[in-house]
Amino acid sequence: MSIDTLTDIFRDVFEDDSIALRPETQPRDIKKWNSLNHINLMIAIEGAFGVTILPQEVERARDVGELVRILQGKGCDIAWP
Amino acid sequence: MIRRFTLADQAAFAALSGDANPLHLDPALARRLLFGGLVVHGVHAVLWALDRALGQNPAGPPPTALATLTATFHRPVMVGDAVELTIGRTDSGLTATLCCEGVECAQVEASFGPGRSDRDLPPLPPVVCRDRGLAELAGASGHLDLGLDADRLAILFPAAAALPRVQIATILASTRLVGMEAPGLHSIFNSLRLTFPPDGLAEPSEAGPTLAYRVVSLHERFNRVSLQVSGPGCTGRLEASYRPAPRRQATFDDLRRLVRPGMFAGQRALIVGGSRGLGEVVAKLVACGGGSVRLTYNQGRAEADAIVAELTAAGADAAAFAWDVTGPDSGNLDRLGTFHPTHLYHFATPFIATRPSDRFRMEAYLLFSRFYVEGFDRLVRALAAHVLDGRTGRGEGDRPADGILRVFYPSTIFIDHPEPGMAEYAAAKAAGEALCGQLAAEDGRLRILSRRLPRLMTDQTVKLVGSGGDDPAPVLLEILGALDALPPAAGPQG
Repeated sequence: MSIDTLTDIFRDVFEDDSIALRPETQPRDIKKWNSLNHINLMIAIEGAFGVTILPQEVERARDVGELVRILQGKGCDIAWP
Repeated sequence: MIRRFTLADQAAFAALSGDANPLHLDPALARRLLFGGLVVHGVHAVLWALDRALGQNPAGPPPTALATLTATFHRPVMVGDAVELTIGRTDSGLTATLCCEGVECAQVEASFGPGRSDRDLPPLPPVVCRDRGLAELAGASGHLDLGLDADRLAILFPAAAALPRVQIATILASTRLVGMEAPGLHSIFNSLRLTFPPDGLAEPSEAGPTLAYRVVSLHERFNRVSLQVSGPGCTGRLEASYRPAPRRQATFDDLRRLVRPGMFAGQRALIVGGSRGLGEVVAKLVACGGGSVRLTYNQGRAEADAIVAELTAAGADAAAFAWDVTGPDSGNLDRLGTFHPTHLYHFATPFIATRPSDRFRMEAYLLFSRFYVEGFDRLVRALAAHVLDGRTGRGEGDRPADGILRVFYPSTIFIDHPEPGMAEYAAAKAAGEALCGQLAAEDGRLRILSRRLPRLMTDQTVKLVGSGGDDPAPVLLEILGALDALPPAAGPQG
């Protein structure tokens, strides 16, 4: 899967089709990225990528770069273009 | 349009909806829960927004019935917050946004359609708030009887009262379902999505109208519950979170294994903010080591009394009394009587709320400073006069044998490692550190230890997902030892 899959998930969860992900993208950059939607994001990612995200990883995933590293560590085929 | 919800508003809405979850009504308990205080029912905010929007409908006849209603509760609206409501119009209905301090807390969308048939509803039956474990909710199902007090509705939401009663009763039942039934006691309402098909209501049955529910998904790792609901002329989906309970600290017996017998013999500890959290752990550690403790509380009398009962049952000398470190009387130490502390631990704090903001929130900084700077300064000076100068005119008691008052000031690691939303808290703690240096320089009989603590497990650090911090007991035990080991030379230590 490409970063586009992750982008689609972000756009769906945060209801914003203008989202373009970069490694440094963090909650302050996306209007609806709050603690509630962060959990929605994790649930959606688990469903799409077929992985299990641990509670400590939920806390660690504070920017998209770190989130991608977590997913790569789980064997997800995801890379920046 | 701005409104501040009050506790009286909460009680009135609880009577209308049947959602009497203590998160909305019990200030003493709510201060220990995830948001640190009373939270306005999400559906209360939704109906208020709907009512205001309908009340100012610009043109044409008022809508006769809802077709859809969706609401997402991004952040809690706290009782007393200034909530700003912004209403927008769409082709089929309206949108409403509720913000506090410029941050969006809830988003509501409603569409309207042709009139639906309506029906009379019985009074709301009494409901018990269910205390369910998260695992119990897997596959749970049931139903809630619909009921409505039309007179109360007309008072609280006069414009929305023109909508079909059964629609309003269904919306009210959604908060009753989440807050009282499933998840019940440990719940946070995240979102609702209700659809009212145009084919009207089911025929009345002898059993009366109900809202049926079924838990359709449960994410235990994320404490997330999804419910499907259906009622007369309505289907929908609700999302809720399973809220963590207040943090329970280790017991006296648990901690006794960590503390060497007699380790704190002769210590007389005044623990400000000792009814829970770090203050509670320090009280128990000192008592385990043979010290005497006096702990203070602001609102948590029941918790403080429980700690004292636990300690005295174990043979320790312990007592508790009320003390507001920000109050005008906070420098009056009469309540100590002849108890002359050798040690002061200052854990008094407001709820450490974080809220994303593009600016430094001066009002938040000033609130923290009232506890960590102003209240701390007043207390240390008063206590030095009380125990070291003997100015109070009370009985002599036992003054510190070494003529020294040892003080622990808990600072924060967020000074070194800033996090979004924590700048005001960190700044006030840093100011307190500077004050420690000033106090020690002024009075050579003070030994003040300040530590930048990591995130430790307390009510303040509890999270929906994850541990929220380390076990405080080992960290605090090391600090107690360090405080006693401070060298004779005066000055702040860190």
